[in-house]
Amino acid sequence: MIPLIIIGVVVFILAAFLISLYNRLVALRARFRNAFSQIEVQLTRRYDLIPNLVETAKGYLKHESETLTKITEARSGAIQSLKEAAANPGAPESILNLNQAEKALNSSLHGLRIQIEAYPDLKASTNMIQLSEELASTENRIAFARQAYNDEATLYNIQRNSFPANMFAGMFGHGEDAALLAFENAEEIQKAPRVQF
Amino acid sequence: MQFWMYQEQAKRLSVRILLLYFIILVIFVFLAAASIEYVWRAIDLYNTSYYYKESAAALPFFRPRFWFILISFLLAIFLASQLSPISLSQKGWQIAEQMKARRVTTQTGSNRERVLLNVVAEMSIASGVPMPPVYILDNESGINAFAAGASQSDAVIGVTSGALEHLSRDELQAVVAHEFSHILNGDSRLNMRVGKLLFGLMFMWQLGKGMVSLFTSSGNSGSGSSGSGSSGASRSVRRSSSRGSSGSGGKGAGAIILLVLAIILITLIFGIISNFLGKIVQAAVCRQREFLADASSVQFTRTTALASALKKIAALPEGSSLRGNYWLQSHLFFGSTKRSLFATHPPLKTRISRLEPDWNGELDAQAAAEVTSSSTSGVASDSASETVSANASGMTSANAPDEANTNLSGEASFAAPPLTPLASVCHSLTSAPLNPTVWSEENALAPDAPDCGPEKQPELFRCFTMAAQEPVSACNMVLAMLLSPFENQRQAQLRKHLQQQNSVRIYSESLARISWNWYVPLLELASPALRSMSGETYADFRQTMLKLIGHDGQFSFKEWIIFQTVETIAGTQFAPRAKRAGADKARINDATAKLLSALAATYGDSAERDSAFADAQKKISGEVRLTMQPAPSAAELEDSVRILRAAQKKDRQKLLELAIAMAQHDSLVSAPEKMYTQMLALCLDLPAPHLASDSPASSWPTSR
Repeated sequence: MIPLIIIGVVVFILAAFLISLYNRLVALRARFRNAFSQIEVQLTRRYDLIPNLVETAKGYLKHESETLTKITEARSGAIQSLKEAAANPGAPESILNLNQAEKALNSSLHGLRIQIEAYPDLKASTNMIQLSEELASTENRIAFARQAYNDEATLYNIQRNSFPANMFAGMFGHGEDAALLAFENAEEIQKAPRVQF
Repeated sequence: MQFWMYQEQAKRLSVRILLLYFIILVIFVFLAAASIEYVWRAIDLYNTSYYYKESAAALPFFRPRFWFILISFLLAIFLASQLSPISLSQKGWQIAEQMKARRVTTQTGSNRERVLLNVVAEMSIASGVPMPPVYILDNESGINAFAAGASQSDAVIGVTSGALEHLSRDELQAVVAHEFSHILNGDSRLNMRVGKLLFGLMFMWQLGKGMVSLFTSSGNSGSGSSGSGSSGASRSVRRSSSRGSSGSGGKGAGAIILLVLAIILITLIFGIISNFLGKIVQAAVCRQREFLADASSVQFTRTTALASALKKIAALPEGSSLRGNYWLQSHLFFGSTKRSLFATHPPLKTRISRLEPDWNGELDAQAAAEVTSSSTSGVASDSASETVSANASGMTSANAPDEANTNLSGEASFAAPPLTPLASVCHSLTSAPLNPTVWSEENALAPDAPDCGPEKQPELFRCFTMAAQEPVSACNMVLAMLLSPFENQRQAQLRKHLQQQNSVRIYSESLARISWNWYVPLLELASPALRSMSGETYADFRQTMLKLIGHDGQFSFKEWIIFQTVETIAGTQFAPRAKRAGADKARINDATAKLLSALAATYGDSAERDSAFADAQKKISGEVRLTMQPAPSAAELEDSVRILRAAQKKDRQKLLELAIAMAQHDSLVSAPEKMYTQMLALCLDLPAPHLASDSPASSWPTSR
């Protein structure tokens, strides 16, 4: 009788552990996916702001319409890859694509910002002041959303890889690590610094 | 900066401090109960003739009476803490309104306030806390901020105007991140809990003190000084127990007084010590939570901008001090002025050196210069932006100082002012019959073109949808609906009665372009925002509505029904709940007749009116006979609505059916007819009926 009770208790404890492990993994995955959708929301917000920016700048930057078309193109490319990434959050290759597209958009926006510097009227216009505050805020939000996503994904990965969870995670359908978002200029950071004399 | 480490440390320390305090508290309660039990026992021994020496020395834990005393002691503390004015159910916005803070929304804000809103939105993403409402404490030149609210869902964040003025965007962000940590870690709730417990202990102290004064005042006339009496009694107790002689029963009354005195004295000592200790513990926990929030600010922003914000506070002559009297809420703030064992905040220098370990402890001249220069240049740049925002926000900024002044002197009373019935507002206005000529003219001016729908003007409708979701803009939208359709009167109304006249003017111009069919959906959309107003705010808003309505000295049906609908949506929560009992039939019929005749009178000339009313009459010819009433007054109509709201649902539904029948009497339902019928339904707590109104596009009077 006593051995039976002991076995029963052990089985019960094991089952309770497995259930709690499973629930924790599910909760953590839901959290990092939600964090990704936050990035998505903020990226979309930026894509929505860009046409306004282009409209405002158009009147002043007549001679530099090339920059503006570049931005518009980069925007549509980024929207496309965001849609793909949103379809399967956490998949490494789609996140990589999104990173690339975002990088292109950022560099073209940066180009615009430099050109705006040359037009004091444009820089001082109320519309532009508001727009640049909105853009700055949106970029911050994207950065914070990425940061929150990375924190959540790291928590998930730690939980998934720690012993003894790593023995069961694959069984529960948590076989893969969540992909972390890379820095926008990851390649530059990877490169060895060149020193010129 | 190893912020994870500091976070861990702060969390661990605050838990330990609290735990220690609870252990000490439990020991104190034990000691108090045990000493009461000992005294009681000694008195028992004195009174009874038994001699049992060993059990007198035995521990009291084995006696039921000890546990009884212990439990009643704990119960007393618990009950007293329930009397505390601190309430966990108090919402964050209520606390903010008590402090007379001003809510910032995207519509009201100047450029700086927009930045604040953006910063809060950014931090809400970084911390994963839902975006809280944002408030500003106007007229406070010190740098400070607060977070209030017991849970994440009803938390609010507030910032002083000084913080907005002096801090850079990054520093503001760091301060807001600090406040977000308080929300995320539930510090406000923790503080409220400890505060409640402290109130319970304070109560014990006060109880003891009160009873001592009661006894000394009555005891002086009686048996001399109570102190010498008690010592004498205890001496005799000792003597009697050692000798084992039988005491006398005649000393029973003295023994009871002695027992009561002992209980009071022990309660008093217990209250004083535990309360004193509790204050220190509360402050210590608060300080740890501040460290935690500082570390979390670094986690959320990944910069040490908070250090430079703290340096600016140190460099600013006002520092973080506030002009207003917010002692009730002092623990909520970002910076503090008190500095002692009881300080709720750690000293600035400690906080800065934790954030920047290599800080030399000197406030560099740069920070000081920045503060002074930013206060001048900040004002200069702000004045530029003020002029821009003044166009958009109207009187908001000019109005702020007045509000702040009243808050300094005024008590933070929070009782919702009773909403007076219309009849007592202004007799000449509300008792006069509704003016029928105004109605038809207003109806004639109602835009009813087919291109007034949302598909034709998506921009306009998006603006209105957004406006309906924020309390301030929703109120302005309602005020715009109440404006007179006549140009000259409208201008006068705007000038005389409105503080935010520009935004109301913009809404009224936009409203002129949409059909009345959309008023009811807009009001329904705005109802959460309207309902979120506090009692005081709503009373002010109601006053403004009445001023606008009373501008021309009379109520029109349109004005009355819009007012009544808003009152139903936003005001009923402040009114005492009406009993839903069936009033007597005659009164219900009378009310129905009044409402229907008022409705019918909006349909134009007397022939039209009579035929509409006759249609309604035909519908219920078998049951009752409704008599057409000569134009009732606004107060009478309000009474009728009140009677019907208290009536059974089927009575209200019958009235609504009749109103629909009246609207459909000539087979086309114009926009005003539809709006009136739907609003009447809302006033009666019924869902707005769907009316096929897609009649040929022509406004009502010209269709005849």
